[in-house]
Amino acid sequence: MKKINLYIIISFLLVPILAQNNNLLSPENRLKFGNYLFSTKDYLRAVSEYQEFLKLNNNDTIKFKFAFALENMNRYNEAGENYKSLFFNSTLEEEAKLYYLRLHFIQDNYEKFEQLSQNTIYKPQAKMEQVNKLKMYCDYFILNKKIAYDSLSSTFNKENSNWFSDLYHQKNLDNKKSPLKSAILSSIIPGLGKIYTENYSDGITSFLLTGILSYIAYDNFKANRNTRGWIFTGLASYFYVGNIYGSYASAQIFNARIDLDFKTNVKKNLEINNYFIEKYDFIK
Amino acid sequence: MIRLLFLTLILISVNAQTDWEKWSAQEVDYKLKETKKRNYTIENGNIITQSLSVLKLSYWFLISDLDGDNCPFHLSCSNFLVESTKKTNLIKASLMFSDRFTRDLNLFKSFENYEIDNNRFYDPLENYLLDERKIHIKPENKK
Repeated sequence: MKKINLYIIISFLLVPILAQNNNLLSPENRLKFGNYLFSTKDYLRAVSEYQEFLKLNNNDTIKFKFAFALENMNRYNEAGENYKSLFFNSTLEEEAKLYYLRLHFIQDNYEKFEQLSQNTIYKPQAKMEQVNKLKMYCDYFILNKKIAYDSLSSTFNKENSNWFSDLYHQKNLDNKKSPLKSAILSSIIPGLGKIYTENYSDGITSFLLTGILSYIAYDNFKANRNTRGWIFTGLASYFYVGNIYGSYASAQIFNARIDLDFKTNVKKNLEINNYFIEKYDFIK
Repeated sequence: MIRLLFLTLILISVNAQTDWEKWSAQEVDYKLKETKKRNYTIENGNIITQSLSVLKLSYWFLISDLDGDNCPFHLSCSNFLVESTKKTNLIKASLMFSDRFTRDLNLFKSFENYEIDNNRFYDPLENYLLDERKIHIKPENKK
């Protein structure tokens, strides 16, 4: 029995010594795990794995993926610095410059984008077509510069996609409302200006409120109750003038909403088209 | 071996989690906890702002606190009046308030043009200053 106990104790002691030596934290394993996390878009953890891998290894593809992961986590400054580290003596120099320029676009920093795209250090010479496409998109749809339709169409309509014609027509569609017209309409019939700006319930409410107060004032004057008549006249006038003011403001808000919808579509379209920059296989 | 096993069992039972807490009856309070505390101080400023602030506090104390927090908008109507007076003047603020009152009255309860912020409809007073540059449709946190 004593011998059996001794054998059991010795085997328990030998197991950890003889077990397969598998260093989970080796650079190769970190890279494999990092790539897996990257492919599942778990950028937060992928970044820490790549960071450890890059401490011991110099790999341009991983550096690029590291920068891309930081970009997707909205850590734009760090992403920019990492893209810049690939600008010299790197196999991914052109791609890094392209994505660095794209980064400024993502942050709505259009002036900086235009400035850097002219600078030799930041200019990806072999990829200028993509940069010029993005620049033209920015100039026309965001900065509202005048560009001929033919020039735009030849650049963006190559793939026969619908987005260009939809966005072009949305930009040029004159569906804004005139605040002055809205105010004048409300002065003629209370609430009509708000109906003009498609605030139907507010318009009808204004009409009913002003109408009812006016009627009560009239009724009081008719019954020779002058004090009450003047009180309700005052209230009716107050809401009448307020309705004109509100109609003017509602037209301005209507126009602001149109601008916001357009800007949202412009941004969304850029994201769908990956800012007109090719998406490389190693970051898909 | 048996001694070793016995020793292990004793050690486990000595270090195991114990429960000395006894169940007892708890007094239940069904009163809703007050999540929002109103600031009842009179605001600093000129005589008009102070007067409106007093009016606002009186409305809160006499009507709003008893009636309940019914305003569907983020900046409540009473606050809208006081803040618009601070930003503009009494006449413009009263016109803005008149328009806000009409929109609040909204007989058909149609609020689809408003964004939601803090569980209320986002309706900042900057949208009604008649300055297009100051209009913002979406709250800051949703941009």
